[in-house]
Amino acid sequence: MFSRILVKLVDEAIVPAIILLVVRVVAVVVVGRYFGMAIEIGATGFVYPDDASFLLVNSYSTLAMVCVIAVGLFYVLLKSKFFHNTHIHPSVTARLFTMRLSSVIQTSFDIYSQGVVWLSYSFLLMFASGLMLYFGLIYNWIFYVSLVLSVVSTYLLIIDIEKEMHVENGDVVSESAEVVLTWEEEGID
Amino acid sequence: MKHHLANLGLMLILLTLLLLPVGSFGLAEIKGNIEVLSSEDVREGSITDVGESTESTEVVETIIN
Repeated sequence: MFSRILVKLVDEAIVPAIILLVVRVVAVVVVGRYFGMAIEIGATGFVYPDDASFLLVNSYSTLAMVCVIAVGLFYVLLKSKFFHNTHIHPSVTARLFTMRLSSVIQTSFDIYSQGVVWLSYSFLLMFASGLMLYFGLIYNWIFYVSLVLSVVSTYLLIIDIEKEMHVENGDVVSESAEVVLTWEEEGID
Repeated sequence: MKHHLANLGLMLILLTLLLLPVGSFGLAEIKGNIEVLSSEDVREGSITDVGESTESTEVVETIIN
């Protein structure tokens, strides 16, 4: 009844959403305390003493979120490069099984659904930071960092998917070639 | 029909999850001008530089008092 891809994406999006939300809140508190600002918690959220404080805390907490997304994307790309079940090296497989870490080896479905979720967060944060930059609510370099992260990680993920599908060699066409099975009758004279 | 509605629900859940961290940017408020005006600067008479309206001055003075 449910789409398998949608269920997987929802499943993979829960943990990053919680992590990013927690990082945002913790970063606001930590940055506020580090710079000695009197940030209060009101009915509508955090209450900043002035515009400059908001700009500073908003910028650095966004940077913390960008860093977390970068770590998430790096982890997915690492798994895709070294622990993908389609091309993992036999010695690495043996070593992982010896260390009882066989769960690290993942399928394309797992890896790419995680990649799509982290990439979505990266692009959403980029658009949000772009919007905040337009209204002067964030330092401009935070937006540029977010932009570079989104572009580079998209490129790396596309390259990885291409390698996985052997698109660069044109093997995709050959893989989809028709195979005709013939029925040979035996024992009939 | 049920199949499509179920998937639409899943998509809404996914969208909510994706927008949840970005939505945290809305949890911010900067203290209003009233609090700034009710500081020592206002008591020293700089309120006349902020606005020319006598009504607004009266409001701020009422708040201070």
